Amino acid sequence: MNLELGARRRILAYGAGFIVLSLVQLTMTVGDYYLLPDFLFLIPLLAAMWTPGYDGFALGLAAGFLRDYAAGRGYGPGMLAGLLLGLLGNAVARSGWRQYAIRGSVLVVVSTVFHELLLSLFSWILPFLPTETRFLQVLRVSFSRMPRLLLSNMVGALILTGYFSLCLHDWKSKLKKQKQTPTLSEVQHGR
Amino acid sequence: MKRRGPRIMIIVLISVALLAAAILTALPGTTRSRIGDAFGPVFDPVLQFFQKTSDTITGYFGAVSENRKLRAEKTALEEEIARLNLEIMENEDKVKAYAELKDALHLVTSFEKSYITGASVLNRDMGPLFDLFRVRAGRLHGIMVEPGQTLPVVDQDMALIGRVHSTELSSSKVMPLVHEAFAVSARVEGTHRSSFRVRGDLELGEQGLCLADHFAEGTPVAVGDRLVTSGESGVYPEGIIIGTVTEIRRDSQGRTLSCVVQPAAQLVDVSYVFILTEKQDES
Repeated sequence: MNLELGARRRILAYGAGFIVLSLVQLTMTVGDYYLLPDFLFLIPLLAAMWTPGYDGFALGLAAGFLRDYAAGRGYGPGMLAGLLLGLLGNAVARSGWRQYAIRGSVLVVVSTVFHELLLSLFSWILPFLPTETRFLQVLRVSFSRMPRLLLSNMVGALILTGYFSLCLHDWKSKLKKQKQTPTLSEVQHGR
Repeated sequence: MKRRGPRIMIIVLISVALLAAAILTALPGTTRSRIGDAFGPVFDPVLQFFQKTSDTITGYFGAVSENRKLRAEKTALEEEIARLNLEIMENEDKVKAYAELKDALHLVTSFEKSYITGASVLNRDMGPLFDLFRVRAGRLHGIMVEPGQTLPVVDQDMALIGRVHSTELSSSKVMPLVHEAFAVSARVEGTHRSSFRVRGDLELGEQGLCLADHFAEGTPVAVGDRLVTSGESGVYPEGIIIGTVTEIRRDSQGRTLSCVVQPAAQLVDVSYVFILTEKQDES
């Protein structure tokens, strides 16, 4: 969305957002909430759409590490998934709100489904111990989770978009443009 | 200005490194522990501080709204205290008699050989492949998982929550009872019938339930029976409460194939757990 933002502003906005939202997510796992947005999934995805480049990629690695540390069976799978999400966001990023809304919502839905199915597949292929779980069971459970996941992530994406637009959107240039455009009364008075 | 995306070479190199890390850390051992050891002491206190802050804030608003309810509850509790005091007086004699009997017969209760370490839950599972939860007690608190050893995790009512999967310096990961890789030998409480297995099941786990199977022929189990750990093979101490049978699945000849078990522990919103560790033999 915005390709001309300085590094300091991006680091501040993404850093603060990442720390607070990941802590919120981890804290919310201890409780029974119907909607639990997966910010560790959404941050690299949407950050890559806002400022394409290395931002989504780096945030994906950081989010993945945190996921691996918090609840993973080892270190690596979460970071790899985060890296992919960052690249995915990069690939579909275009400038303009309209493009962001269309591409962003499709991306959140598609990548939520893909992410859930991919992780389910991996947990079935690489189980802790040989279990009696069949792949069909894995799919059934994944699809039963899907409506709640999609709803949570759409809500999370809206929250994140609000935060990013507050921190990263270039409000000043918009105000300048408005000031430069003369009002009707100014034109009439020859100002 | 067009900002360039990550170069393919960098992506490939990082991906290969991550795959190697995934393989290395999937094996039980030091690699996983070292990464956690370095990161945990910084991150765990931050998360716990955040949890406490959010608890304080929600607690403040909750206290205001629940004040009225508490007043009504206080009256009811006062009546109950009076009733319980009477019960205590009646039971004191029974406790004395039990202590005398225990000394005379050299009885050892189930958990006398165990140390109990309390730990707050830092986070719970986060979907497939990230299905463990982290508690704030690690090697610094004396929690060590030796090869072939299992450390049970219970709640305040001694109901089974799971087992310690791996330990790091200041925290540990716990595999919950409903996880499909979890299994424990069990029996019906109050009986010494042959034991069977209680294990996690992927589909039942979504509903917070688990499965009992591997019943020997003729094992009588009924809906409502409470299951406890059997203590067989010494993996888990005997008598830890697992849960209650809610449904029995039989074959066409009426033999019990499996049972659906409702865990006794509140796995959904558990925020504090206890880890049972074995006391070292002083000799």
